[in-house]
Amino acid sequence: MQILGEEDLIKYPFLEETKQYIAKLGLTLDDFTSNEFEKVIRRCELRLMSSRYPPELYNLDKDTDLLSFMLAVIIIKASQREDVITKFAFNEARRAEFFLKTERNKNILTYILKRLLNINVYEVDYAIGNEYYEYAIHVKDYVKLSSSLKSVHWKIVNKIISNGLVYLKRQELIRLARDKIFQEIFKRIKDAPTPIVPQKLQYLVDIVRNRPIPKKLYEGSTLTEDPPCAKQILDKIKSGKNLSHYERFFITTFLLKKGKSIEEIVNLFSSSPDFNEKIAKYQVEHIAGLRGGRKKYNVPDCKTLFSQGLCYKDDSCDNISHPLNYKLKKSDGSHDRKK
Amino acid sequence: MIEKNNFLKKAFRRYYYENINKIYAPQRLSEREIGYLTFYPEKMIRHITLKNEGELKALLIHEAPKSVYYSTAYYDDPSAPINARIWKGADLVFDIDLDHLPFKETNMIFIYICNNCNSIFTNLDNKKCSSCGSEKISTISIPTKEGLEYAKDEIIRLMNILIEDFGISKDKIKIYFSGKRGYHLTVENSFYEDSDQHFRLELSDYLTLNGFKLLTTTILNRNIPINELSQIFPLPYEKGWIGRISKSFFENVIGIKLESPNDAYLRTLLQKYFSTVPYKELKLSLEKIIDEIKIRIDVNVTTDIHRIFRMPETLHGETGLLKKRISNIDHFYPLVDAIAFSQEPIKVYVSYAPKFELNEQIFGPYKKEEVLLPEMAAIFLICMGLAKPLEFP
Repeated sequence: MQILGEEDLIKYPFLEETKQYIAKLGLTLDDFTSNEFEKVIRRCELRLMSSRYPPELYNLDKDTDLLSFMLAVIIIKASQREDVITKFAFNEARRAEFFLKTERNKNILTYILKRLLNINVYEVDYAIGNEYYEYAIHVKDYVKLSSSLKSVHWKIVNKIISNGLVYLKRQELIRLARDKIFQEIFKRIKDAPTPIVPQKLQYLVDIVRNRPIPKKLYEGSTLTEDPPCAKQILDKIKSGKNLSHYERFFITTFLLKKGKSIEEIVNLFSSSPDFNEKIAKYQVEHIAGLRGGRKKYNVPDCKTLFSQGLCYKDDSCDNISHPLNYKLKKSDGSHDRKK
Repeated sequence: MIEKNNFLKKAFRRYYYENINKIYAPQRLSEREIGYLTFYPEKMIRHITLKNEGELKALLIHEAPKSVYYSTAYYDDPSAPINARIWKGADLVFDIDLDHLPFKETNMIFIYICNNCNSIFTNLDNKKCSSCGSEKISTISIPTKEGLEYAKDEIIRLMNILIEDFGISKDKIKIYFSGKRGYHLTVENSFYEDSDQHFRLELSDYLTLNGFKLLTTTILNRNIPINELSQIFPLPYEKGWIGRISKSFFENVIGIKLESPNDAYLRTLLQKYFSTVPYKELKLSLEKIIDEIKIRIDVNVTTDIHRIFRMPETLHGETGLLKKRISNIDHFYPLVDAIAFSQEPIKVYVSYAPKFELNEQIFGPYKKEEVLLPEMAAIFLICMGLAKPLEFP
């Protein structure tokens, strides 16, 4: 257990060990109202206010990092803003990913990855050409961990698999860990009881409450008749999750085809934790054929969506080969399935 | 004339009655959904639970079904409606069917029957009946010995990948002749039993190389100098697909036998090959290998976690052959070993039958004639819809 030093706890404040560390300090929420914690409060504000963490938060600060993280968790819970939980968890996961990537001590890296992922992580030493694989995990664990990563790169067909193990490069395992950190932090805050915040710290809760509410949600008229593949993504957007590049591409082409305007689509994306209006607008315009190559992109067919892991075909799809055919067949009712 | 379904039902019942000791239940029978197809009216009965092997045997003799199925999944209450059951896991299942393999003339014989005027053809031009012009045509495909051997190679390759790449031990794998055009492979009691549909989709894509980009990202998509390329190109002993592709590349493209491959020697061969062959050709050869080497499973079967699947040792209603467990695949001959019915001669009227082989005997071709055939061949043709019984055995 002694493998992690104080600096590691600061880098990865969500680890179980930090709780023990902080418990030892014997602090209560009221203590934070005293002036000696002013620096902690400032750093906590940074964590609460930023939609993307500034470089400052990537500079470790021994005195304030742990406590400001713990305090931020409490304040965000008190604010009851789920979109901020998502954003905070995402930012913390990104921050931890940065430290994992730059971790020089391989023992610590491996230890933390094992702890984080909570699965068997095997150290291997395997190279094909210039590709070097340092870790292996069981294929079932791998598929679970990578399920939110939709690029074909993450499909097992594009991984080296042997004897039930998926061989991974260091960066790949770290990327999987990032998602896991996100989920852990999100769950921790979500499941925590709502705390009572001392009056003097109430303004921190207000900071969070006053953060702009992402323009919500798709209010399209025929949502219920979208095919499952599109529904899946729209639900993801609603719950404030990030989309993969291809999910964004597909849903954009789909919504454009349904007659949504560029503004409506950009608004829809604005609830994503990694939303950047300028980039989103550019991408949507590009897909609509207003930018770059001036090519208007077609909605991908079912086969392509399948390869992309985005096909959630169910009985209602019948045998369509293109998501745009979904409603057509449904509405004329002529496709009773043969038994 | 004797009614065909009546004849078949009697024959199937007699088979089950006389061979009931050969019937065994799939493991954990009571946790599986059972379904069967009746002869007349042709109807699918589903959501049945059988407590034990005795009940299964009773069902086979009593109902004499055209086909019998069991769920690959285990449930807490298999007879409840599908949404009301608790899914506890499912065997991994794979279906290799000649229909999904690259078409070869010698693999299957096709016969087309016009549903309008009952004319029979061996060639179908313009997707229309050449007698009456109707477009309502049924296709009957009869697998040949060669075809079934071809499918056998595919199932063996599949088995090896499951063992080598997925670490499944051989004793958990069961292989069957499907009773018609191919083979089934099931994995029971494995670590993968509780895998969800997402995992099974990934597994299918892995086996079918669907979305395979590994070479594109490492070798093919870069402007790597020949010297370097020959140093980083994967060698045949690499793990997973990469090794298999490399092996095929050395054997089929470079053209050497890989008995005791020596790294340095292989690298020299690569260097020589890359310096003479344009990049485009390399790319084409690799693409060709990928297309040939992938395993052509029926993806729907593998990814459906509520699938019902033909039950082992039962009769296939479209052939009268058995779905047969294979213990030694190298010495299994489906058109001999899966035969259920006897050599007893029966008189049948054959509307059309190509030359075909069963139990190492050659039959046909027949056209609109009465023939005396051994029961096994008569039932085979009757099941296919190519003949009508004229007497009971």
